Amino acid sequence: MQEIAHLPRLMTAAEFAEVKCQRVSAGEDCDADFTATELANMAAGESVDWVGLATQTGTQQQHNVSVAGGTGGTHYRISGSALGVEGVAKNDSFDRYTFGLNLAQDFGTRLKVGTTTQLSRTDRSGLSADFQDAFRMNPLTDAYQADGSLTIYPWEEDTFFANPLQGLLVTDDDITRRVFSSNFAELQLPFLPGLSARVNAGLDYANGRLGRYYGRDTRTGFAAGGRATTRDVSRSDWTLENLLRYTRSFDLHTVDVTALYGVSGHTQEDERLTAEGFPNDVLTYYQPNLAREFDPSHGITESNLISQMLRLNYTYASRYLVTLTARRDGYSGFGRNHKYGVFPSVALGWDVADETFWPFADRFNALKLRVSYGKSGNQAISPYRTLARLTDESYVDDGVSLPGFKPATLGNPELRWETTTTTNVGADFGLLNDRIRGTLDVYRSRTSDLLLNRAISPTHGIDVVTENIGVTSNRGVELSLSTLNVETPRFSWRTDFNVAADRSRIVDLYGNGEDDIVNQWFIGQPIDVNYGYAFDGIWQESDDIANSAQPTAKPGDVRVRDVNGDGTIDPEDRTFLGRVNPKYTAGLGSTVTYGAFTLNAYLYTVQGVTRANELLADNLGDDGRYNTILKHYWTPEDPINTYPANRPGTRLGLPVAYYQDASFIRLKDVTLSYTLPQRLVGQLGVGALRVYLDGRNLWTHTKWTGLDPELRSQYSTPLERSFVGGIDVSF
Amino acid sequence: MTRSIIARRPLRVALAALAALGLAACGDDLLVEAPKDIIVADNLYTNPAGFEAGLNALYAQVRKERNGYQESGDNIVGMTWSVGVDNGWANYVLISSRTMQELGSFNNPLYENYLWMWKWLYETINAANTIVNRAANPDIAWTPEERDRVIAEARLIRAWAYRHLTYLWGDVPLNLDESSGATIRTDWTRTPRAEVQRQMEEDLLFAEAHLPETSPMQGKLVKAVAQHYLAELYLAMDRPAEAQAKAEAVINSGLYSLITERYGVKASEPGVPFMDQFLDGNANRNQGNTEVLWSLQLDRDLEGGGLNIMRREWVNRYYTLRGIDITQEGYGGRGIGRISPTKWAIDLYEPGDDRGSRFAIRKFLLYNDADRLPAGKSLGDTLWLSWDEESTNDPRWPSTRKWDWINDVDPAGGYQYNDQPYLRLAETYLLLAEAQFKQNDLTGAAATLNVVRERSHATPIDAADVTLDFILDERSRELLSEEHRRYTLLRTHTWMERTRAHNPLTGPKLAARDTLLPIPQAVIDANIGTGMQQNPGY
Repeated sequence: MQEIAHLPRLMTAAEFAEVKCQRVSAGEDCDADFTATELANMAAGESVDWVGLATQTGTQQQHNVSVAGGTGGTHYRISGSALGVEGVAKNDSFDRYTFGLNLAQDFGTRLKVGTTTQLSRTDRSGLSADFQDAFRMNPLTDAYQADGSLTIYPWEEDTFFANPLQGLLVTDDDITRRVFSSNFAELQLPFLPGLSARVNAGLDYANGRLGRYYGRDTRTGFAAGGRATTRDVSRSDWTLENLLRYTRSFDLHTVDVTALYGVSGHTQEDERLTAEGFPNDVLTYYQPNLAREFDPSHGITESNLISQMLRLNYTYASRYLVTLTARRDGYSGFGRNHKYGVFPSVALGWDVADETFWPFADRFNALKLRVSYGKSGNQAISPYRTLARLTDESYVDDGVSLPGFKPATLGNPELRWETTTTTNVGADFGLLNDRIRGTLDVYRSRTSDLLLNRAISPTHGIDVVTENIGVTSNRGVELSLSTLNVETPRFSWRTDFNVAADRSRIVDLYGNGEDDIVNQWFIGQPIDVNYGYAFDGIWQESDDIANSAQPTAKPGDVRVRDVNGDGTIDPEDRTFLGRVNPKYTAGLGSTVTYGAFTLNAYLYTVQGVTRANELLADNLGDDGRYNTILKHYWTPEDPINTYPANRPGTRLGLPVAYYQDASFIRLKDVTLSYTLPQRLVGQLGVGALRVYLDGRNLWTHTKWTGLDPELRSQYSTPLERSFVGGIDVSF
Repeated sequence: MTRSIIARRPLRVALAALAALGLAACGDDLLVEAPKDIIVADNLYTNPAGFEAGLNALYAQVRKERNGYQESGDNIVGMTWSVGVDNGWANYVLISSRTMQELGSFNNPLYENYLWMWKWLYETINAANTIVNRAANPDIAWTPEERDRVIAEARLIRAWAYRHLTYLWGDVPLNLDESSGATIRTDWTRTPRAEVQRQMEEDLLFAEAHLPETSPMQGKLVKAVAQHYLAELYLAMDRPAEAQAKAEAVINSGLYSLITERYGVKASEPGVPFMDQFLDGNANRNQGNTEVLWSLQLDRDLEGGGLNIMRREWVNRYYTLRGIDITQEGYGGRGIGRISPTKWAIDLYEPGDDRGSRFAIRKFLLYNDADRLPAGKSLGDTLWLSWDEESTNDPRWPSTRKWDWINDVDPAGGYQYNDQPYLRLAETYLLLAEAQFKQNDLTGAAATLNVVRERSHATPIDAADVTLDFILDERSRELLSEEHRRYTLLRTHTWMERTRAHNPLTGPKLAARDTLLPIPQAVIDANIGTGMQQNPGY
C-alpha cells in the first residue's frame, strides 16, 4: 500500500477567493473580477481539491521465483519476477516482468563458457494528471460536468486552462522490451601455467514504443481535432573485451597481471511522429494517414570507446600489496587529435595486524592501511560536440512550407579528456574480535580540463559552448562503522553507521585568476553555487525608505540586501546564498534480532544544503488566475518580516528568490520480519520461510516547506510512503 | 554418432574464437564520428538551395517579433516598444509589461527578457553573417545576380536586427563575422551608434541595389522594403533629404497604392477599406493587397507555420464579461488584454475617421451568451465599454480590431496563424511627411499626410496644421499597435514628453536614463575581467 508522504498546504476555494480579491481589487468590489464560473462555485460553496482528485492510495505487488543448481560442469540459475505498482498518482502504473538465465558450463578443465542473460518487459502505460497544473489550478472551477465526465475546459471562460486531470482520459501505451546478455569464455592456456585468456561479450538492447492519443474529450485533443504521438526508441550498448591474465604464486610472492583490450559502442535511435486533426477518435493513434498535420522526426546518436589496460598486482606474504595500473582510453566524441587519454595509478596496501610484531592483536584484531595515487578520465559529454551544428528554423510562404536552418552550436575541435588525479589514504580496521569493524578513507583530488558547458557572450549569436576548463580540487572523508552492540543467543543488536563529507573548490579557470560571473564560477568556491540577490526581509512603515538603497519601495515590498553598502541595489550586490552540495551526509542502520524476529531501521540525513523553493515565489499572478500554497502575507496590521504584501510587483522587478534550508533527516526504511523456526518449517515441507512487513519513507524532519527537499521539482508527483508485506519461501 | 567439434577439440575452437573476436575489435575507425542526423554549415551552404534554407530561417527569426519572449506564446516581444509609450499601456500586467510600465527598479540589467532579446537579435545577426560569409565561396554554382540577391536578403535582415539593437540599447557591439568555436571572445566592445548606423546604411543600400522589385513569393523581401528602412534610417541620422528620396522611390515606383476601396474576403459585409488588409485572406499582394511592402507568413498546419499572439495581447479579456461568448464570429477571438491603447489614443480620432470607427476599434459588444446573461439583459443588448482612466485588470477597456481572428478548429484557442502586414505603404507616406517637415516643406508634408487621411475619410489638413506632434498623432491613428512606437518617439526625441503627457501610468515614473535599456548583465559578465560599459543610470 502506498500513500502520499507529504503535501504542501494549498489554498481552499474560500482562501483563494479572499487572496485573489485582495490581489486584483485591493479587497474592494471584487465581484467584477470574478468570472461567472468562479461566482457560481463561490455561491455554491464548492472547492475543487485538484491534487486530491489526481491521487489515490497506491498498491504494489512483487513476486520472485528462482531455481538454481548444477550437475557435472554445469551451473545454472533461472529466475522470474513480476512487479506491479499502482502509484499514488492516479493512472501512474508500472508493471515489469523479467526472466533471467545464468548459465556456466565447463568444457574439460581448461575452458569455461557462461552467460548472464535477462529478458524484461516494462509497461508504463497510462498518463497521470499534470501535477504542476493540479497544484496551480484555480479551486473555484469545475472538474466534472453534470453527467460526471471530466470537463474539457474546467474554467469555461478562461480556455487557456486544460483540465489538470485530462491525462486520465488519454490513451497511452508505453512498453519497453529489453534484452541484456553478458557472456564470457575463459581458457586456461596450456603452455604456461597460470596464464588464461578471457573474452567478455555483452549486449544491452532496449526498445521502447509509445503510442499516445488525446481525444476530443481533452482540451489538447479538442483544440487539435485529436492529437497522436507515436515514438519508437531503441538503444543498444555493446561491449567486447579481450583479457589476458597471468596469476601465479612462488613461495611468499603472488603475481597477478592482467592485460585488457576492449571496445564498446552506444547507439540510440529515436523516431517520432506527432500528428493532429483526425476524422474521429475511434482509431486513436492508429490513423496517422488521416491526420491534417504531421510533425515527424528521426534522430540517431552513436558513440564508441576503446580501452586498453595493463595491471600488475604483486603481493608479498599476503601482507604487502602493490597494484600498478596503466589505462589508455579513447572516445569518439573528442577532437581528432585528442581522442585518447592515458591514466596511470599505483596502490599500496599493508596488513599491519598480520605482522608478528603487532602488539594489540587481542583487542585490535584487524588493521589494513591503504594508499593510492592515480589519474582517472571522464568523457561525460554527448557525441558531436566538436561539430558546429545547424538547427531547423523553418518558414512558410503562402501556404507552402519552406525548410530553414540556422547556426545552433559552436564546434570545439579541441575537446579532450577531463582528468582527475586522486590521492587516497585509507584504513580498514576491526576491534574486539570484529565486534567493531570500520573503514576510514581520506582523499584529495585535483581535476583538470573539466568538461563544462560554458555560457559565453550572447553577442556571438550562440550563448553556450562545451569546453575543457580549469582546475578544481576536492578533499573529503568517508567513514563507515559497524558495531555489534549486544549478542546473546536470543537477542542481538547491530548498528551500521556511515558519514561522508566533501569540499570542492575551483582552483583556476582560464589561467588568469579571473572569476567567470556569467557561469557563476568563482575561484575558491565549488562549481555549483547559489548566487544572486539576498532576501533581506520586508520594508516596514517605520523604515526610512526614501533614503535607502530602494527608494521606490513601499512598505510591504521585499527588501534586497545592499551587500556592498553603496546605497543602491545593482548587480554588484549579488552574493553567495548557502551551499548547493551538502556539508555532510550520513546514514544509520540498526538491526535488532530477538529470537525469530528481526527489526531493521535505516535513518538517512543530508545536512547543510540550501535551495530556492519555487512554491514560495508569488505564483498567484497579478490577475489571480493560479492557486498557490497558503501564504502568510505582510499587512500594515501584521508587519511580518518574512513575506511581502499581497499585491503586484512586491519584488520591484529584482530576481530575488526565497531560499530555504533543504537539510533533512529521514526514516527511510523499517522492516519487521519473522523467520519461521526450523522445526515448523520442516512440518510445512519448505526449506525456509520468512514473513515481513516493510515501511518506507515513514518520517522526515526538515525545515523545507515544499513537497519534499529531495525532489528536484516541488510541482511533481508527490513522494509516497509505502507499507509492504511479504513472504520469502525457499525449498 | 559424431561428437561436435567443440566437444572434441575444445581448445582449438576456443583459441580460434578468441583470435577472431580479438581481431574484430580493432581499429581507431571506431573513434571517427560520422553523424547521420546532423547538418553543419559545411554541408548546407554548398548550393543555392542551402542558402535559401539559411534565408528561410532569417525570416522565421523576424516573425518571432510577434510571438512571446522565450518563444513562450505569451509575453509578446512587442511589449518593449508598445507599453510605456504615449499610446499603449499594460492592462493585464505580466512581469514583462510591468517592466516597461513601471520602469524604476523594474527596468534593471538582470531582467531576463532583455537578455532573451539580445540573444534573439544576435542569433539573427550571426545567421545572416554566416550566409554573407559563405556566399563568397567561388565554388557555388550560381550567377552573380543570384548570389547578390541572397546576400541582399541576409544583409537587410542584419540591418533590421541592428535597427532594433540601436533603438533599444544605443551603442552595441558590431558583429559582422560568422562565430566559430575557435574564436570565443571575452572582449566585446560597444560600437558607437553612428558607426552601427553607417553599417546599416551600407547593408540597406546593397539590398536596395540587388533585391528584385517584385517577387512571385508573398513573404520575400523586395527593393521597396530596403528603401522604406533607408528612409527611416536617414531620418534617425538627421539626413531628411535622403529620407525623402527613398520614401518617394517607394511611393512613386508604381508598384504600390493605398487601399481605398473595399476588397477581398469580406468586401460585401459592412466595413471600411482601411481594415480589409488585416483580414485573414487579404494580407498578401496576391490576395489584392496593394499596400503591403512586407507581410509575415504563417500557417497553422505546416512545418514552419509559426504562431502569432498579436490578438492574444491586444484584444481585451472580454471572455470574463458575463453574457459575452468570444468564440462567436465577430467578437475578435480570444484575447487576454496584456496591452491596451491609452485613453488618449482612443480619443485621437475625429468622428468619421474610418480608423476610429467601430470596424477598427471595439467600443461595444452585443450580449450573445444566453446562459450567462447578467440580470436585466437580453440577447442582442449592447454592452458599452468604457475608457475613462487606465486601471489595470480592466476587461471593459476598448481594443484595436486589427488582430481579430478566429479559427473554426479551435475557436477558443490562444494563438493565431494568419498572414499579417508587417510594413505597409501608409507608413512610408508618414516617413515622407516627417522628412518634408524636417526640411520645412509644410505644404508637401500636409499633402502627404492628406493622402493617408483621405483614404480613411479624415478631414484634410493644411500646411498650418503640420507640426511634429501632428505627424506623431497621425502615426498613432494609422499605425496603432503596428509600429514600434517607442522607436518612433525616440527617433523624434519626444518619448519622455509625449509619454508624460498621454500615459498616466508610466508618465510620472520615467526618467532620462530609461530612454536606453540596461545592457543585459550576462553580456557584461561574459566579458571576463573587463566587463562592458553599462548605460548610464543602471
